Amino acid sequence: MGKKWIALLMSAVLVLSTVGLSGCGGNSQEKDVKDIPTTAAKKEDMDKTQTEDTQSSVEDTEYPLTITDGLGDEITFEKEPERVISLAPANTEILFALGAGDRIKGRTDYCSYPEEASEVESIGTYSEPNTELIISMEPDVVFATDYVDDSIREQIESTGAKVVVYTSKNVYVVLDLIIQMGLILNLNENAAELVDSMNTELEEIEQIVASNQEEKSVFVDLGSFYSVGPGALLYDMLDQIGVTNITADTETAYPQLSVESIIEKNPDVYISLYSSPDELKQTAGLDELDCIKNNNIIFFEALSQEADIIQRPSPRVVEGIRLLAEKIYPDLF
Amino acid sequence: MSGKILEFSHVAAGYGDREILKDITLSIHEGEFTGLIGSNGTGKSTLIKCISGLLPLNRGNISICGKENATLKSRERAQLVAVVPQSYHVEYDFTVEDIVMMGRNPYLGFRKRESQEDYDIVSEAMKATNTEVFRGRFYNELSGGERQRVILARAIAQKPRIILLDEPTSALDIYHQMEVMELITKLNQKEHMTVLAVLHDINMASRFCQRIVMLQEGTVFMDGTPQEVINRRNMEALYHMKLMIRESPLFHKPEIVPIRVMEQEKIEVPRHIHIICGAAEAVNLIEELDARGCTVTAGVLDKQSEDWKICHQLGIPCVDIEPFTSVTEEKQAKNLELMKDADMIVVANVPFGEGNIQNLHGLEFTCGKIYIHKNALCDDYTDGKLAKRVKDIEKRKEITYFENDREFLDLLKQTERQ
Amino acid sequence: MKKIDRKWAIPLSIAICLIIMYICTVTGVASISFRDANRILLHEIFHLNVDLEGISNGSITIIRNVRLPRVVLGFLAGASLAVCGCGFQGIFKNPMADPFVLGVSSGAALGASIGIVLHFDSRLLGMSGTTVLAFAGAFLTILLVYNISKVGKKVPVSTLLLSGIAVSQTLSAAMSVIMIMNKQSMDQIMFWTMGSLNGKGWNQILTVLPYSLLGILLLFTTCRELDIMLTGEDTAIQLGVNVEFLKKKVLFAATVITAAVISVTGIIGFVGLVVPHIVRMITGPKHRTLMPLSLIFGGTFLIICDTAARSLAVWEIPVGIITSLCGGPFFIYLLSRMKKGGNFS
Repeated sequence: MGKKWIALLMSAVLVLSTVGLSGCGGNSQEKDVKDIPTTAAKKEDMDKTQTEDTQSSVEDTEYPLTITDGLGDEITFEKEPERVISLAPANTEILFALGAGDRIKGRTDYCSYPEEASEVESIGTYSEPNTELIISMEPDVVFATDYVDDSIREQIESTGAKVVVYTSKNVYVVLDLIIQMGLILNLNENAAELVDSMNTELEEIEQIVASNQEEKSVFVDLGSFYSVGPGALLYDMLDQIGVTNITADTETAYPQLSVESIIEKNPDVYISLYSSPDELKQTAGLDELDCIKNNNIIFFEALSQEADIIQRPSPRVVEGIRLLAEKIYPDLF
Repeated sequence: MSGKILEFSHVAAGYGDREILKDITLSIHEGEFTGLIGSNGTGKSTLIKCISGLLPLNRGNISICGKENATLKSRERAQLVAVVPQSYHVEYDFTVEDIVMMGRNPYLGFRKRESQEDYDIVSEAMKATNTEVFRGRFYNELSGGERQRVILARAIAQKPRIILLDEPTSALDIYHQMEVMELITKLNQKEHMTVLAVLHDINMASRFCQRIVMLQEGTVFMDGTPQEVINRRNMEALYHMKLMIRESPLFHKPEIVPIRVMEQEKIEVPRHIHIICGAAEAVNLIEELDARGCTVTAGVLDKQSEDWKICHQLGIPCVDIEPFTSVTEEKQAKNLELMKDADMIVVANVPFGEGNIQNLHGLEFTCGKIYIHKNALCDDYTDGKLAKRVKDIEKRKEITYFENDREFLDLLKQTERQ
Repeated sequence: MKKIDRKWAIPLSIAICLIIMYICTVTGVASISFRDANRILLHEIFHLNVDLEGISNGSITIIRNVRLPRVVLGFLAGASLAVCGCGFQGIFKNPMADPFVLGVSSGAALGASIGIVLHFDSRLLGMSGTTVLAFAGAFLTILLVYNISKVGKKVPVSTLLLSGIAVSQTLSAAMSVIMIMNKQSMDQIMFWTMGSLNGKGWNQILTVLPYSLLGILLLFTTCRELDIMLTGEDTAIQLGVNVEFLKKKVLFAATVITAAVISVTGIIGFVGLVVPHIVRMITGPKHRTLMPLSLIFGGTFLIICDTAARSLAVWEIPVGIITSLCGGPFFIYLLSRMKKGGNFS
């Protein structure tokens, strides 16, 4: 029994790091994760990095190119990669947005956007892809997330393919990785345009939200009261629109809160990605919560497009932020 | 005594395809103390299992107190029959009193908790088995004999009509064996409890049981009093070994003396050896020579002497006389007739007196070689007649002396090689 | 070792249990003052006319609808699992048996996985679809195990254990398949299997209570016969115990209890294994003392673990992890201390 539970504990940590399907930053590997060095994640630095990126991105990429990925590994590309495999729905979205859709030879079962993605052959799931299939596709580069097993990564790398691992803890990391993927694929111009438009959109949302007087607090329920905390993408997205998250003091990316502390923190809005409002209303204790009683529940059904855009570190992340802002502050829009 | 309390009719049972009990028909009467004997694997314990409901019958039926056993609920059966197995280990710390109280289980239910009456019965059972001194101790901490008494107390607390014992003494030393058997006998005599006991020890069975049932290959081979069942023929059929049955002088019950299982190395040229003996010293020599395939004769023996008994058991031809009478010339003539063609004549370690000096008469005229145990000449109760007699023989024949039986057997081997 | 007397052990442990229940009710992450907590308790439990002026509605809700039901459900679940453990250890004559040994947990987990994947919104008799399916899964598993192990009219204990393991493994594999095929539900299934009392209220207590009571009462009727079972199955038959019926009774009662409890709380391990064991070390093997004391200690143990689960950090720790973390090492310590005796009690 003991071993079983230790194993469970370990798998719990593992699962927590995979919550949200979209390859958010994993807390289990937090130590190793370095921000992508080309730019800084802080908002204040954005303008500076922006200009740098824009300048460099207009030109063609010079190979050999050495980049540092989300795990801090240095990877050198000798030539422009032609054959690409995406091991995450968000990576697939970015590739299509960069105009590299035709280079994608493999994708995961969950790559549901854009529609063209479904025409690409699937190589399995993001954590347990079919290694044989991947190798048989002879990719030049594989864009993965940090919950691909090291042994799988090494196997793929041994065939000469490059594996670039991304961990997206916040919105700016997403912007950075778009730039970096553009650099790798020699699609710098497209990347710059994409990031520009995303930045414009972000600024627009920022301006709208800036006029907001009433700061609201939220609780995000991923199911069984598991939530997002500092270090999770969704947490950062809510932060971007000035929403207080009641998990702020947990210092954990994916904490489970007790009903008791939810009641005590008394959030203004309850965001549920799993339980339906009806189920929440029947949960002991929660039924007394003001936001539940007043129907301040935002429910994103699992696997819906809405649930995807607020969770995936993809170019649509800004749409996600807008969606959240609209739902939380309907009066502003 | 009164009626049949336990009846088996054409009982067959076994494990899987292997049928152990083939056809058992037997009735046990109330108040009887019956011993169940038989060699290993003949189904004694299986029979106990059938009675106590652990093993279903393939054929036939068992009735207990007139009730069909198969239809009895285990609760009802436990009120009639108690089983005392070999003392066993319990992996949990139950006190002696807890264990004995378990005997009251057939009379209790969820609603009916242990009453004062039950506690009294338990106390009595412990008193009867001398276990009340350690009623509060843990069963596991007791010695084998003590545990066996506790198990017996538990059986008594069941207030059964019949007690079944499955080798109750096999793991115990003789003190505790006796203690348990005496307790059971007391139970049988004072409480008129019917007892059916599987016993390994034939002498124990013979001594304590009124009736002995012998099983052989899944059927009842013999059934009767110890005197009827325990005889050489039955016992040899049972154990396929050389043994001797004699009456225990203390209890007047037949007693088994196991002799040997492995065959003795045979002598290549069997010889006729005549042994002059008559007390108890030649038993070993007679048996050994017989086992090695020699033709043995003996004489002149006192009836009921040990030497005589072994000859009798082994069917060795001998000349005998009534105890405490003297060897007559007529008897000695018969003796000489017996040793006429003997290759060897051995004078065993026997004290000579006026009564048996006649035994040495005429030895010088036989054709066999003469061997004399040295000790036979040490004790001379004949005022020198013995020494004279030996000298007379020596005049005509060579005498070889030997110190013990082993030496004689060596001599025998030597003569063989020549 | 001197065993503790039943006469005062039970009242004493009830008293300890009540004190711990009280302490656990006033403990938690939410900062509710001791005085306020007491006032709310007096008002809610004894219906005294206590003035609740100045206490926030949230505090009242937390005590009344969150902590109290959690404490009560914790007691109910812990007590039920511990009594089941006693029963199983009795009929299996094996101190390492626990309520999940025959695969109840795997069955329940499989049922729950199906419920989570299908994400039933409908409610049957006030229970969620997941709960109903977990209960059904648990029950069907034991039915399957029982029928596989049946040899004629008898159910040998060893066969029962083996088929329990086999069925349990198969069902676990089936659950893994469901998890892999429905990645989006994987986390939910994992959370479920880790067991938690978080978000459980009076409704869930009412769901579990009748089954637990029925099962516990049924198990309490088997005390004397379970004692005899510990001395050997053959001996039990010879002492008038209807062994096959006893097995059925214990199996049925324990399944009803375990299925009801874990379908609501998820799998909470170790309570059913460790508590009867520890109690047996203190009181001896007689079930008449062992069962009620295991009930009380099992309940108390889970209340303490659950309070730790919700109070140790600002976030929740799955209670199953706490029970294992506390229970495991304590159990190892006890085993090493008792090893010299060589007995299981």
